[in-house]
Amino acid sequence: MADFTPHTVEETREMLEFLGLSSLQDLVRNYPVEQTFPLLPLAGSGMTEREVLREVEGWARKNAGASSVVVFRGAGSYEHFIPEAVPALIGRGEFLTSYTPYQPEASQGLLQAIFEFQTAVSSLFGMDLSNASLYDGATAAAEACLVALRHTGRPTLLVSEGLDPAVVSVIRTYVEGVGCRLVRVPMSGGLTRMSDLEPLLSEDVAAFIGSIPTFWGTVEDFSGFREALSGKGALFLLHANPHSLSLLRSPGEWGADLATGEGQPLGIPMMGGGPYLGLMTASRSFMRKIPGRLVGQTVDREGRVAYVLTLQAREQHIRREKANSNVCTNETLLSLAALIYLSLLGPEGFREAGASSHANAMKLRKGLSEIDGIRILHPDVPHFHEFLVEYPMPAREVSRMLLSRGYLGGLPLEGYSGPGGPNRMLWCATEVRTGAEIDGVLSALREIMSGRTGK
Amino acid sequence: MPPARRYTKTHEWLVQSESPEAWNVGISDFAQQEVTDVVFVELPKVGRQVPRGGEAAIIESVKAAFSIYSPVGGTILAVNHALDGDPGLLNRDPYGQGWIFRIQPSDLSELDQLMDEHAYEQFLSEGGGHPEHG
Amino acid sequence: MKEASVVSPSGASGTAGTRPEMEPSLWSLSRSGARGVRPVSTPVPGDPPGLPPHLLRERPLGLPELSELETVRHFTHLSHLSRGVDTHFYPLGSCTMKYNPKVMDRVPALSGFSDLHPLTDEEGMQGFLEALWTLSELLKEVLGMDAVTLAPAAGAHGELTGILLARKYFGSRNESHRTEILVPDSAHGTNPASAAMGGFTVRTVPSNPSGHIDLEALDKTLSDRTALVMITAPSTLGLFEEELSEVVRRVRAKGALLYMDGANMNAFLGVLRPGDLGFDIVHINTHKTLATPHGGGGPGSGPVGVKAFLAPFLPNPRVVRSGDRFHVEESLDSVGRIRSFLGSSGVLLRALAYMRMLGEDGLRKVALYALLNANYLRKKLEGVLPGTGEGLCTHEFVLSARSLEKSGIHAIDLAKALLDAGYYAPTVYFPLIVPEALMIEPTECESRAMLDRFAEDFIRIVGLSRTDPDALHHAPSRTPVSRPDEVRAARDPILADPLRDLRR
Repeated sequence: MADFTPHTVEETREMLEFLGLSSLQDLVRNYPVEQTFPLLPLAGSGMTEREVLREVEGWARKNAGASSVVVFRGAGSYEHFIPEAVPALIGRGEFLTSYTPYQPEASQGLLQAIFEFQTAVSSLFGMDLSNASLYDGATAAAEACLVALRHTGRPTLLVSEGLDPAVVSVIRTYVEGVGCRLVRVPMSGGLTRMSDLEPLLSEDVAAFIGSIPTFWGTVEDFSGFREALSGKGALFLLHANPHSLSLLRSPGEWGADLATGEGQPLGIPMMGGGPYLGLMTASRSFMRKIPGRLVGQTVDREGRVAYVLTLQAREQHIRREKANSNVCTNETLLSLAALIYLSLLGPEGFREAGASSHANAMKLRKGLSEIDGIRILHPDVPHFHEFLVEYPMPAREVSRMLLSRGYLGGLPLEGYSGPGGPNRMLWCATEVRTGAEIDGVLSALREIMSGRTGK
Repeated sequence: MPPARRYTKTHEWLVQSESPEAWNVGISDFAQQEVTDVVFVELPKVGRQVPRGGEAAIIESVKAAFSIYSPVGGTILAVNHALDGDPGLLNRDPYGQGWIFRIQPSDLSELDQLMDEHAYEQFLSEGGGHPEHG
Repeated sequence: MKEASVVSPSGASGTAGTRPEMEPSLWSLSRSGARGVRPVSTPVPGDPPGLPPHLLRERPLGLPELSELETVRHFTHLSHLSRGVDTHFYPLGSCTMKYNPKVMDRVPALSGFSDLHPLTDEEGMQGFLEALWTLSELLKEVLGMDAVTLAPAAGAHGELTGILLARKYFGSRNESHRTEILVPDSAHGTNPASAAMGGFTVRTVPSNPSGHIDLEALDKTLSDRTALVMITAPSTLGLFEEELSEVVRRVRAKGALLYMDGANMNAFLGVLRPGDLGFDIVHINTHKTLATPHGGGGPGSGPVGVKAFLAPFLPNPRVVRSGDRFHVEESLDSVGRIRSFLGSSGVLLRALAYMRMLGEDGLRKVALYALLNANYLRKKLEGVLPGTGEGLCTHEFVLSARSLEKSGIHAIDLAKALLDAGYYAPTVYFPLIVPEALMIEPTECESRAMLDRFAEDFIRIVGLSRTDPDALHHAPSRTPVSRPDEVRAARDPILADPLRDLRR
C-alpha cells in the first residue's frame, strides 16, 4: 500500500506523547464516537504505484482514443495538435502544486502568467479584458447570462439556435433558479437572421447570445445585431470557439458586450470531457460586473512592476451572498496551457492551424458530397471546420460501422432538435487530419453507403 | 464637523444641500478610516426610490465591500460622479467633495430619528460599532 | 540567475534579503517574425476559400512571437517566481495543501484517457466509464451516501449542485415555499454565494463564543421556509460541532435538508461518514482531500454524494451500469446539465488512483495524521498567540494576532515574514469572525522535522513584533517583489499588457 505520511513509528509515538495521548485513535475522541471508523470494504487493502498503474492502464486500453482511432468528431471538444512543451511546462511543480496566488510576493510567476493569459485571450476575442478563467465554456456562457440579467434587471434571454445545445442546457440550469426565461431564436438555412431576432426584441430582453461558429458549423453574419440590441437596451453576448478566431471576425469586432468560449481547443487534451477552460471576456464597462478572478498590474513599494489579484470585492470570499458569483476554484493550470500554446504557435502558426482546419473540413465535405446517398446541409452557407450531412439511414448506425473500421466519425444527431435529427451527422476535421486519413474515411463511407444501397 | 449634519448608527451622514428638498449623503470620517483606501464606489441610479435604511450605494476597499444605507427614505436626485474617477475623495474629504448621493426625503419627520453631531460622537465613544460588511 | 527558492530558514531578520529578478513580459520578449512550433507541415496559402471577407477578422491577433526555446525559458523563469507544495511547506488553512503523488499525474495522461473524445460511442469508452463508475462507488462508500455525481468542477460548483437538488426535490413535493438557506457565520463565502445563485434567500446563523453553531439562534432562524442548512464540519474554526446530532435532529424536525460542505474532509476521511451523521447532501473537494493538484487555483473537482431519495435529481448526464456494460444516460427529473460533459476526468482519474493506492487503512491514516500534525503544531505554538477552541483541534487551527496590534503588527506582517523564512503563508483574515486570524493547516504529509522548524521560525517572527517590528513591516525582503500596491491596482485596473496592441 502506498503511504504519503512521512512519520516513523518512533516519531508518531513521541508526537502522541507530547500531546499526552496514547494512540492515534485518541485524536478523534471528540468525534461522534458511535459512528467512527466505519468498515470500508470497497476501499480494499491499497496498492503500490505499479499495481495502480496496471489497473488504470487496463481501463485506458478499452477506449477508442485518438491514438487508436481517427477522430472526425467535434461538437464542443476538438483534437488539435498540442506541442510537447505545453504539458512539460504546466507540469512544473511550482505551477502544478501551488494554490490561488493570494500571497502575491510568493506567486509573482503564476500571477504574471495569468496576466499574460488575460492579455492573450482578450486580444484573441478582440475585447478589452478577460478574467482568469471559469470551469468550462458552458458555465462561462451561463455566468455571462447572469451578468446580463443582473445588469439590465430584465428577465428574458434570447438564445440563438446556433448555440451548442449542451451550453443552452447549462444556461437553463443556471438561470432557472433566478426566475429567468429562455427564448430560442430559430435559425433558417443554418443562420440566425435579423428578421427572426427583431420580432422577439422587447423591453423584457436582457441579452441575445449567439455563437461563432454555430454548433452546426456555419459562420454567422452578425451585422446590425449590436445596434438592434442596444437600441432596445439589451446586451449582445457571443460564445466563440477560440480556434476559429484565428480566421473569423472576433466578438469585439461584432460589438459584443461580453464574449465567452470553451478554451479546450487551445492546447488542452479532450480527456473524455474535462477539465476544460471557461473563457470570459468583456468590454471595460463590465470590468466590475464579471465573475472570476482578475490579475492586475501594479508596482511594489520600491516601484517594481508587480502583479496582484485585484477587484476582489466582487468575489464570494468578501461579498458572500451579494457576490457576482460563487466561483472560487477556476482552471488556472489550463489557462497556463492555453497561454503557452498560443505563445508557441504565435500569430502565424495559430492562423496556419485555423486555415488547415478549415481546408481539411472543406475537403472532407466535398468528398462526402460526392458519395451517393449523402446529402450536405446548408451547402451555400460559409462554414469553419464542422458541417452537417444527412444519410438515408440512422447516423448512429453509420457511426458504429465507422468505429469498427477505425474511425470516430461525425456526431450522430439523434435527439438533437433544430437542424439535428436521427439521420443527421455533424462532421469535423481539424489541422491534425492528413489527406490520407480523409481519403480513408471517405472510402470507408463509400463502402458503408454502397453496402446500404446494395441491400 | 460643520453643524446641522445628522448621522446614522451605520455611519452615514446627511446634510441639507441647496433646499430642504435636497440633502447630501456621505460617510463619516470614522467610517472612512475603518474602510481604509476606497477603490470604488457603486453609485445608485438617479431617480431611484430608496426606503429608509435601504442599501443605496456600495463602497469597496481592496479587501472589503461596505453597504451604504440611506439615512432617510426618498428619491435619489443626483450622484457624485467625481468619485468614479477619484474614489480617494471619500478618504480625503469625507464631509465635502466625498459626498456620495443627493436625496429628496419623502418624509422629513424621519430626520428627527437621526443623531446630531454630539449624539454621534457620544455613540462613537461608547464603542459605536464597525461599519457593516456588504 | 532567477531563483526564488534560495531562502534559508533563518530569513526575516532586519537585513534586506536578495530579491530574485522579475521576468520581462511575454510581449516585451516578442520579436516580429519569430516562429515557435509549427502546427502543420504544409500551410494552406492565401485567404480561406468559402469564407467571405466580411466574416474574417481584421483586428490583429495580438499574440507574441517567440522561438520555442524563448517560450520555454520564459515559463520556466516564471515557475521560479512561484511556490508550490513541491518546493515549500504550504500551511494554507482550509486549502489542504498536501503532497500530490507524482504517479497520479501519469494516469490521465495515458492514451485512451487523454485523447478520448467525450462524445465517443459508448462501446468506444467502456474502460473510461468503468473507471468513473468505480470512483463513484468508492466515494459512495467513504461519504456514506447512496448516489454520487462526478460532474461538479469545484467545491462551489458542488454546492450549487446541492442547492439545485434541494430546489428540485422540494418542487417535486409541492414545497416550493421553502425559499431560505441557513448558513453559519463561520462558513466559507462560497456557501452564501452559492445559495444566492440558486435563487434562495440566505439567512446567517451566528456562532457562540466557542465557535459552534448557537442552537438557540438556530431555532430562531429555522422555519417551514427553510430548504437547506449548510454546515461545514469540522467548522472553519477547525472545530467539530459539539452538538451536531442535535443540529441534525432540529433541522430534520422542520423538514429541511442538511448539506455538508466537505471542504474539511481531511479531518475525518475514513473515520466518519457524512451519511452516517445524518447529512442528505455532501460535496468533497478532490483537490483538497484526495490529493489532486491545485494547479494555481484549478482545475479541481467537487463530486456530490446524496441519499437515495435525491438520486433521481442528480445532474445529467450520468454513468450507469447494467450487467457488465456502462452507459451514459439522461433523466427528465434531473436538475439539468451543470457543465458541457461528464466531469473533470483528468482530475477524477487522479483521485481514483489515490483512493486505490491508499485502501481502507491508508484513507484512515490521512485523517489521523492530519489531526496529529495539526495538534502537534498547535501545541508547539501554544502561548505564542491566542487560539480558538479548547482541547484538541481537528486538521487545522486558528490563531489571532490581535494582541500584536499594540506594536503595530498585523496578521499580514507575520504572513509576509513567513515567506522570507522559506514557507508559503497561512491563510490570513479568514475566518472573518476571528480578528487578525491566521489559519494553519499542516496536512498529514509534513514530517515532524518540518513542523519543528516551522514552529521555531513562527515563534521567532512573533518575537520580532517586540524587538524589531520594522523588520516585519518591511517583510518580505527575499521575494521577487515587496508588497504590491493593491489600492493602485484596484482603483485604475490594468488587466492586460498594453504592449499587445502593438503586435500583429
